[in-house]
Amino acid sequence: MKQTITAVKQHISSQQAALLVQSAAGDFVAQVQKKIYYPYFWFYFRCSVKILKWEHPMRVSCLVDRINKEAATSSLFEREEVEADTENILEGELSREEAYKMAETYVVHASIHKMRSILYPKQQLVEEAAVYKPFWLVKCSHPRKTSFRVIVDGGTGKLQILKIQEDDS
Amino acid sequence: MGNPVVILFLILYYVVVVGIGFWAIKRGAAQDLEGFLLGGRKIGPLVTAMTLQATSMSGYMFLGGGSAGYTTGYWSIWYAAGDIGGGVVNLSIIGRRMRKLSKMMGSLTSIEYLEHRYPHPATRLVSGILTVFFLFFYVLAQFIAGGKGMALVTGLPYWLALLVALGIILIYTYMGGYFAVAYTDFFQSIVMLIGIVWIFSACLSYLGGFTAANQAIAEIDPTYLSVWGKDLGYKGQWGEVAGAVLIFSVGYMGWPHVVVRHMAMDDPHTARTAGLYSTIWNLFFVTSPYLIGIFAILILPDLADPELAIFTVAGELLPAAVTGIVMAAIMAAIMSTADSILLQTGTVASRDIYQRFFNKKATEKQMVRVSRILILVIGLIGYIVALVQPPGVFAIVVFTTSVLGSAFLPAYVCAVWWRKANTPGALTSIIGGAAVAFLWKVAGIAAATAVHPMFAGLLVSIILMIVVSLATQGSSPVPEYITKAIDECANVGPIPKGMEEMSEFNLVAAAKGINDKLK
Repeated sequence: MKQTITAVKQHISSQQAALLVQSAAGDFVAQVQKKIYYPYFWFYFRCSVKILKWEHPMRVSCLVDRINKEAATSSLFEREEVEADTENILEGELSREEAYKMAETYVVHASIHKMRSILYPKQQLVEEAAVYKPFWLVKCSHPRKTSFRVIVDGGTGKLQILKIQEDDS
Repeated sequence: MGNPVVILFLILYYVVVVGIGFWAIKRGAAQDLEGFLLGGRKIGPLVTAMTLQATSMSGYMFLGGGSAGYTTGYWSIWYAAGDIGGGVVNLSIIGRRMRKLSKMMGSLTSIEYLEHRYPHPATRLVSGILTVFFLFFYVLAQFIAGGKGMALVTGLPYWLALLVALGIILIYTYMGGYFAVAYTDFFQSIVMLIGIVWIFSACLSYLGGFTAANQAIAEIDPTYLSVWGKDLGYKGQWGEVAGAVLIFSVGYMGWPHVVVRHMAMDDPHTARTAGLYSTIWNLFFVTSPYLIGIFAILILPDLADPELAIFTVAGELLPAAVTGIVMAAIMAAIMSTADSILLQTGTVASRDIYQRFFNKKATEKQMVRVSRILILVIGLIGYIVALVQPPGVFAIVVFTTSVLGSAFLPAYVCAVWWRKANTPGALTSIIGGAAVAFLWKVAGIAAATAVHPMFAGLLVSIILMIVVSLATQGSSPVPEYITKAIDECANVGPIPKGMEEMSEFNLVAAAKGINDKLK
């Protein structure tokens, strides 16, 4: 069954994901298994901090992970409407209200520590959306070593290793 | 009255730094938060390392290190020996794993991270209180350093210079901004490096070289050249030596305000390369303040306050304009360290204590207010103590590091390396280690036993962590979700090194989520 969702625009194709992983996989063989869509809430704030008498504007884009329930600032990204198999779309339990609170907390925390000052940034929510990030799931196999899987961010090409599983299939 | 040329260049330096900061922020305005501070650029590992070092260099280096060299001679080099590799040791042992585990657990602060790993409210309460209390002493050292430095440079009476320094630190902390951009940190680190190298070179030139200097020191008192210190005061005291080396080699792993940096790491490659640059920096830089202090024995034989050895040597040997710039860079280093510590203290107090235990519904604005109030209180109490009974910068930093390192080192290390480290083990380790290190110094046991408080405290906290964790495995097992997270952070197995290097820490949470959903 297919479903239409709003996703982060994909810039990395399946072949590119495989090549990226293969370039670091040594004597493992990298093979793309499928594309997964990971759920986030996205909030875009227009903020400003006042230093002495000068007001300085800045933008903060914050993604809140709906499965792990944690927030992080992110670069701005393009969005697109995609049609995907429901079985490849992951769902999270976090509500929009909870996510907003986490985003606000994170923006203030990040602002204080990155600017190294106790300044409360004035925030105005400009835009928000429930978005999905496309990840390529890539399996790395070896005839004599335990295989493992890697996810490749379909927007940026960054990767992260998944937990090694003895009976990976 | 201070030298007007020195004061002029000191003021000019701050104007330039604020100007750079203002320009960078204007350039980065209306960009995202990272761009706001970096002027829209990404900084590489070299600049990362330099900015880290700029914030790490503090009053301890420029006053404490100099005074240790002046009063104890080559004994002080034991502290430098530990410091050279401390950053890399810290990064290698817990850096990557802590970054991953903190991401998986959604921890914002290093104290919250401890509670997530050792789940119990007492973990957070005890750790939070200890951190706030002892970081106060570390900040106090910066206040004293700033006050003394300002008094020497400007000629103001100590009470007024202290007030000015404190005022600048508080303004810095409240408004940061212009001082917080990567460009200003990088600029300051370059000035500090040039300044220290210049002072060091000027000393060698004045004294006729390293060998001539050591020979001259030997004529005054040959025991200055001994690693057992003046009058061979520490001869055979391996417990003191061990503690002196441990403090800045492994002690960093027990500092909540230092390990929190691992939680902000981008990727292992940048962190590792930045760590390498930091070590190279330390090789050249970290011994210099102690050596300048030792050389000051010859240049300034009747120095009333050994803590002003480096400042006074700079004033004697460098041109006035250069002295002004170097003094300003040193003062900026002191203030940026004080600012970093105050920020961490404010965050711990507002988030880990106030919000966690007193007002769960506290808004971000309320927590910022709590941080500001606490910082003002710290400033006020710190001013009074620094004025009435100022302890030595060296003594206070070593004391604080000993207690914090003894308290938290086993907890942070075992959090990522030992699956059996449980809550009772961590709590007894933190409390026991802190108590022993504290009492060892305050009750004079260190002097009686010739064992450094750091060594004693760390030994006790390690033993408690192991014994209590093993004894309570049945009654307080480590939750399965935590042991699984530790295993994932370890990532032992056949993962090629290149793959590890390319891993993006910001995707750790997504990887965990996908793992859980795919089961």
